[in-house]
Amino acid sequence: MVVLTSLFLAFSAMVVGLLFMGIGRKVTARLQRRYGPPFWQSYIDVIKCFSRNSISHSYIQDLGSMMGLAGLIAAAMFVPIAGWLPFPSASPIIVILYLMPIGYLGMAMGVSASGNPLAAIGIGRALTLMLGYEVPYAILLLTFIASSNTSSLAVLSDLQTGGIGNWFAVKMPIGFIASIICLQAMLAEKPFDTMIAPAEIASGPMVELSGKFLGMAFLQHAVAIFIETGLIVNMYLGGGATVLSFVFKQFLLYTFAMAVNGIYGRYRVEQAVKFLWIFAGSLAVIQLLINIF
Amino acid sequence: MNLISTGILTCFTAGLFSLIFLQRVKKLQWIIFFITALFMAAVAYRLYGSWQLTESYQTGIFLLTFHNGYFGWIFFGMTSIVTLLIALFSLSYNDKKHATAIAPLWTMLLGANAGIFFAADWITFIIAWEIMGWTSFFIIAHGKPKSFKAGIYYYSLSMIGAVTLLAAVFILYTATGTMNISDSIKALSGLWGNRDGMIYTVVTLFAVTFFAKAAIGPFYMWPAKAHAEAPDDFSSFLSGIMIKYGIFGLLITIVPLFRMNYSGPVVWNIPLALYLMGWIGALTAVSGTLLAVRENDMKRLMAFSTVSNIGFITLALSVNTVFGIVAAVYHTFNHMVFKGTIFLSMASVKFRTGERDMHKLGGIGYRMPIAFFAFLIGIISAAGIPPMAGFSSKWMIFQSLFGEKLLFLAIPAFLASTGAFLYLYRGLHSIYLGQLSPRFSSIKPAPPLQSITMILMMLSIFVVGAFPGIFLTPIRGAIAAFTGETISAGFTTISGVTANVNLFMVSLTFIGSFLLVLFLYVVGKKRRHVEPLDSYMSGEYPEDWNMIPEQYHYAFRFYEPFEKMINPTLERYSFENWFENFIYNTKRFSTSLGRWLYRQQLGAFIVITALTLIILTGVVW
Amino acid sequence: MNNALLLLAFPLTAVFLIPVGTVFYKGFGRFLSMLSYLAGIVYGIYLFPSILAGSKTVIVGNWAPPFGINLFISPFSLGLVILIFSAAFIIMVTDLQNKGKSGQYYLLYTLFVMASAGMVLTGDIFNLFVFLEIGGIASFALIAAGASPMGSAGSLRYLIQAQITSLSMLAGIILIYSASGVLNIAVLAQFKTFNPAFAFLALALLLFPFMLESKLFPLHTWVGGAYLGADHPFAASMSGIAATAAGAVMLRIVLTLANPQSGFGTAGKSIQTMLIILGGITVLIGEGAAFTEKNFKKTLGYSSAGQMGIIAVGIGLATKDALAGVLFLILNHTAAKILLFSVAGLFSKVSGKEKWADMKGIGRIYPLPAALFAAGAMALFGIPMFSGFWGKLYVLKSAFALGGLAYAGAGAILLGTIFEGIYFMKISHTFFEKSDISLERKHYPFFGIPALFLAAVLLAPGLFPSILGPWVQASVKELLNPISGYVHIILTSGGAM
Repeated sequence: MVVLTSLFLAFSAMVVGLLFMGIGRKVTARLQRRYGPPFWQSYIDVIKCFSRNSISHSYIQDLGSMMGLAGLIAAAMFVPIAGWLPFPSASPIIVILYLMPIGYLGMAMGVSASGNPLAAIGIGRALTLMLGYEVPYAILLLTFIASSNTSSLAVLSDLQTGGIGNWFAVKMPIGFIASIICLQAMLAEKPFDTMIAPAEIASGPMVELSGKFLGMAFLQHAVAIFIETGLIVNMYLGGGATVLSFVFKQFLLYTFAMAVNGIYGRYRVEQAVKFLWIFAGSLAVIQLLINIF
Repeated sequence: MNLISTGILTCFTAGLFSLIFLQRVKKLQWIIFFITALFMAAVAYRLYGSWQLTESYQTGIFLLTFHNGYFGWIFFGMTSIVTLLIALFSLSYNDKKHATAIAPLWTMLLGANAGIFFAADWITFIIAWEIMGWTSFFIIAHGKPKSFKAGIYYYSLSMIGAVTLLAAVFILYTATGTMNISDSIKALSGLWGNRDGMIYTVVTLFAVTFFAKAAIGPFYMWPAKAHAEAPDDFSSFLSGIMIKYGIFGLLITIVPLFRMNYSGPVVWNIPLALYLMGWIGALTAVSGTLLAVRENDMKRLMAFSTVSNIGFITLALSVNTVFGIVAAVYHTFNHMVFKGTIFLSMASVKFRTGERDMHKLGGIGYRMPIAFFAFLIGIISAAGIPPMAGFSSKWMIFQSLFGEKLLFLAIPAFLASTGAFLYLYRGLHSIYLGQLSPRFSSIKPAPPLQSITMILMMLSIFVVGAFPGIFLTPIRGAIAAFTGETISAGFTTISGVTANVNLFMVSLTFIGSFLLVLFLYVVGKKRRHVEPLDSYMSGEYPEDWNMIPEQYHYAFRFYEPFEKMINPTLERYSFENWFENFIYNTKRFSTSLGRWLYRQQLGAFIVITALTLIILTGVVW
Repeated sequence: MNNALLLLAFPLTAVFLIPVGTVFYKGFGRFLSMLSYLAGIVYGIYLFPSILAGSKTVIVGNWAPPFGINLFISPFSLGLVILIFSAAFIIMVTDLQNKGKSGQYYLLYTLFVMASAGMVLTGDIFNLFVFLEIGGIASFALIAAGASPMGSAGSLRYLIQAQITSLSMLAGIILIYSASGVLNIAVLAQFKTFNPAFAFLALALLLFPFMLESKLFPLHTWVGGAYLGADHPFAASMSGIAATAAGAVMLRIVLTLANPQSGFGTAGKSIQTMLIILGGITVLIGEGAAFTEKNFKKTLGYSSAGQMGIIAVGIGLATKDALAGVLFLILNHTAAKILLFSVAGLFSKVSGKEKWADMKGIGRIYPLPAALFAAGAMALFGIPMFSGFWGKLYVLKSAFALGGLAYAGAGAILLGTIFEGIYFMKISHTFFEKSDISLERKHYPFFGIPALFLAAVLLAPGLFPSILGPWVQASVKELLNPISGYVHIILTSGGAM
């Protein structure tokens, strides 16, 4: 039973994430006055990727790609969807925050093993950026510990039941703004997309991926979108009473991120880190001070 | 039977024997070292349970005492096992080409190791501590000019530490009248409120000793020199075990002192001095991380990583709760294993390639899979990522901070923890991944004994990751024996203040996810192997640009943008520069002393002046 | 004949016979001087058990103490005399491979040893002065005999300072004599009528030459030149023998002559305070100067100054533990310095270099001497398992227990230890460094055995401090109870031999 529910969650995370990606592409296209691909384009992409020949440079690349997707799926198991979890756990934020890196590490390992320096540059930037957003994000986590003495997502979303007035987004608006900035960086959308930077380093980490490896990278991104938006929804937007409202809130967050993505340019990575530390970081610290005193 | 002293004597006798008689047969020296390590592990096994065992010897006016306490034993047992594994590795590492003459001294060092953990009185502790100091100096320096520089740097700090230890012990002795370690600390805590100035002096002196040994705070710079220049297999011991003596010292002195009868100023419910120590630990963690990010030398990189982890442990100790102490000890043991693994893996790489600069390596993982996996598992654990062992201890450290609401201390800890991903990945990429240099295209995998060691250590990291109780149950017992309190934790679950985690479940989740992905991988169409150099290059061919794999390996100044960002800060606040200036000025002072104060002409002048003065005093009186 | 005068008579006889014998056989001087030391050692050890049971005094020429000269044979003085003779003997043994020293050298050397032993034994201040003069003049000549260009310069400077300070001692003797009319230590120890300032002045003047010999600040400046000038055996003797004798005399003057019940009253305490301060400063400047010194002999000389500083602090503290520490340190310093100088001499000889920094890799050719050097060095800066550790520990223990100014002394000792540890480890490691040095390995049989013996001497009390126990306890008891011990035995002549 647990296996089935877990599988269900894994697939739904992929499906929802891919759906968001498709819609996101559409939104960006409309913002740029293009027609854009249909919203199911992402599903087609993934299926196509898995059905094509691929190349691999070493066994580590295969292993790394698998580890990448596996890490994120494992992290998704701890994100409560409208209070529902595939198996009982306290869904601590720290576990999620530390399970996601195993995905990123796997991904990084896989593309590094391809030997392409562009991929390594991209990963280097991605990790630097991660240092940029993890610190403010951790401070946000501390604000919850200061106010409600818990780091469990399920408990946090339970605390917000009973109307918009109870949402932490309303109670802690400064922290919410910081979290939105962090989300933009976590999703690696502009202005924080220096790790992808297609025109500069040829999509960075993805440069050597082909066939099913690229497909797995797509899936990984989809699951990542699901987790990252899901975290914010649970932390600030009340978690959602039903699955539908939960996904809808996620969708709003993602669309907002894509809209920002459509109109901004790109920071250099050290600028991005500084921006995140200074703005998101100080906002989060202000929220922490408010919560403590 | 006097098991402890027998063990210690065996180490010294075996060490001296192989030092004097076996200089020409290096192999035999290493075998003796291995047998001694095995013997010490057996001693540890036999000592388990007999917590009443006390052995004492009257020497002069002091009584030397060893006591087998649960708390000392657990450190001894753990270090003995890790040492045994390292010794197994060394057997294979020290072949004809790589052998160093350090085995006899290392054998003696094992005796000092036991002495430190079993010492029941301060004189025994000092004796073991000093023997540890000089043997490790000769091992680190091992006859090479460059290593010697690192070694003397290390030894200078050791001497400072040894001297402050002497001073602290004698002030303590004068105040309390007992040389017994735990009694004297207990008696000292009885003086809180009466003689605070004296207690703080003792605390400061102890802090200098143990901070210097554990590379905490202003002493963060020696591991980068000593770990890097020491013999490769010894680096593992140095980083895994020796640096923990400082932590052990803090655990038996400063930590209990502040837990009993303390009545001074508090910040967030913890004593002010400990709060300061917490910040020192947090800053150590951050600076270790930032310095590691900049390193291109793999051993230096991991040495800074050690500094960062020690910072974490200090942080947990400063929390002043039993939970924090358990977290600190648990992380200490985890660090012993994973950093040992990482250093052994790098030693294997150096064994085959002879390189230490990461940009000259690359792609080694394709040829040395076991070393690669050892490193991978090690860094996953070091980064504190589940499902490996390092996660649970790091998680507990954070929980201990949350529990006391030390949220501002948690911010630098998070920074350091995330920064760890940066340098750890840098090591993984630059050494094991990327382009394989043709120079190393035909290197062989690690030799069997080295592989076995690394596999064993990998397995232990993985198993402890799923079942933290393997370490935590004895640690909890030992801490309960030590402090009289205990914390609740299951065999697979670690409890925390803000949430509980079942690590076995986390491991299962990851394995399940991996199986799912494996299924997807198998379902996808087959992949084809392509050489690493045959990759996307914007439509160009590497050959057209005379590009060779070494140049195609992106490793040198890997995080340049980030380095540009942090360099000014790091250079402005560098204790290393300060210390170097200090040494330089001391040398200048010393030279001028020799030149000026011992100048011949001064002699007659001083003599006559002194005489006149004395006679004048007499006349005037 | 059961007369402790023999202890001095053996070397003195040798001194008279050497010029004659050398005419017939060139090696006679060496032979006879070694024989006299050996006789001294054997006789001393023969006497030792009975002395341990009770100290004795020897009255020279049947003149009772206030007027005549007497020697005091106690566990303390006899132990140190044995130490001095053994040191001299071992130095001679290590020097056996150097041929071609003249008969006069041995004559002077034996005179020097005899004077040092005499200083330890004598119970009369004027007699002390005579021995001091003999020893000083012999040293002056022996430094100059080093046959290096620096020898004569160093010895001249030493001579000037030594003479000025012995003049000061003479002045002190005159002062004391004018006020009391006696010069016997035992009598003076009970004398009751000194003015305090006068007492301090007299004591300071008396101590001056011994502070010079033990290289205390501010009388340390001769160290560099004299050690540079002297050859290795005599440099070892200056550290091992002269400094030991000076330490013993300082103990005697400070604790017995100037005991609180004597006419010197509190001046003794002031002198002790002065010794703590000067000793502390000496540790710092001695070890500090040795820290960057590259010349081997000079480094060891400075280090010797530092060690004597620690001993001076111990004398100044004058507690039971501190004195035990001082005795350990004296033994340790003598043995270690002889060992270090003999290694230095050997290495200088085989490599032809004067600086230790130029001797890289020499330990790979001569592993035993280099290892013994490391052991001796570790004994000096107080690594456990060597006697120096216990010495330092005892002194520190009592310093911390006393508090106040003693803290400063302890701080200086600890700071000096840091320096000492670092440079000795530097030197020890330099010998083992990989280098392209290519020397032919020769065998020096006269080096190995005495050096190993010295290492054993350093190690044995370190491992089992209790083997020195009876001697240390008896000596400390004697030094701390001057009236009931020293004075009583001499003045009642109950212990006459």
